[in-house]
Amino acid sequence: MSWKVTAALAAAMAFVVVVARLIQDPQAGTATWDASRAAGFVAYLLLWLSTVTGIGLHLHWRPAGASSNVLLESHRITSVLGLSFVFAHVLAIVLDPVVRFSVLDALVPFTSTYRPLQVGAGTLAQWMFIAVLTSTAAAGSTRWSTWRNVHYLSFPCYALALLHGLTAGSDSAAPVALLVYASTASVIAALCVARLFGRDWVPAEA
Amino acid sequence: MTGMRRGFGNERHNYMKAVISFVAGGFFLVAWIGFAASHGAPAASGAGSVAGTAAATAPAAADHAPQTTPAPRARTSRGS
Repeated sequence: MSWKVTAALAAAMAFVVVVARLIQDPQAGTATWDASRAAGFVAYLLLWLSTVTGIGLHLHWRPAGASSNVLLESHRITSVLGLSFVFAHVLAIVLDPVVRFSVLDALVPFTSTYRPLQVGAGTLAQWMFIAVLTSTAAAGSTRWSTWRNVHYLSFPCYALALLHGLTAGSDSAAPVALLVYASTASVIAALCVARLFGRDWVPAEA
Repeated sequence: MTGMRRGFGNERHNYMKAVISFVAGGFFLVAWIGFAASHGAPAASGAGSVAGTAAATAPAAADHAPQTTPAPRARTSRGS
């Protein structure tokens, strides 16, 4: 289900992005640029949701009394959906007529001439995201420890995606964007603390 | 996820997943339209042209060298 929905959504977004590229001003149209910004923003939010639900699974959350399966399936769909938006983000920026990003820029970290470090952070995050999803898709044929170790890439992946959004994007200075990045990063930071110490936490009075 | 089902087999709650996918897709479209609308009216700002885009994104591109002439093929940043 998750992969089918993601494939369908990725195909639909690719279609509208390509159509937008064809009908926009070939010299200076902004439709693909806007599509890339929108897809990047949604991808970040899905990655954030995926990280939150993933840590929640580790902490054995039962949101509103729901079964752990609800959290697990939320974790799965937000992770896989995020990949489709990363795909749309990259496709739109590669097709953009002004920024002129090459496929190589989008796939190989730090090769971009435009803000190479900031863009490279996003490219690295993209590959980490793909590695985590691939290891999960192949989890049935790999050892649990291997899957877990690869899954730990989720944390630097989120951090790099946040860094990419904050520094490579043109919306970072917008108050709304700053608010979103600050609030989501704060939640992740708090959950990381809970994850590191929560299970073994023993109150001083105990 | 210790003790949880790993991988993507035996998926459940498909209705919830469809709703999440629909919401994400809708959010993408709304954000796209919002970003496009933020460029302003073509007559007022020249949106759609490089000069218009540069004018609209001047704060975001403040760390770049100012361009006095349109450079449509140059690698440059753009914003809203």
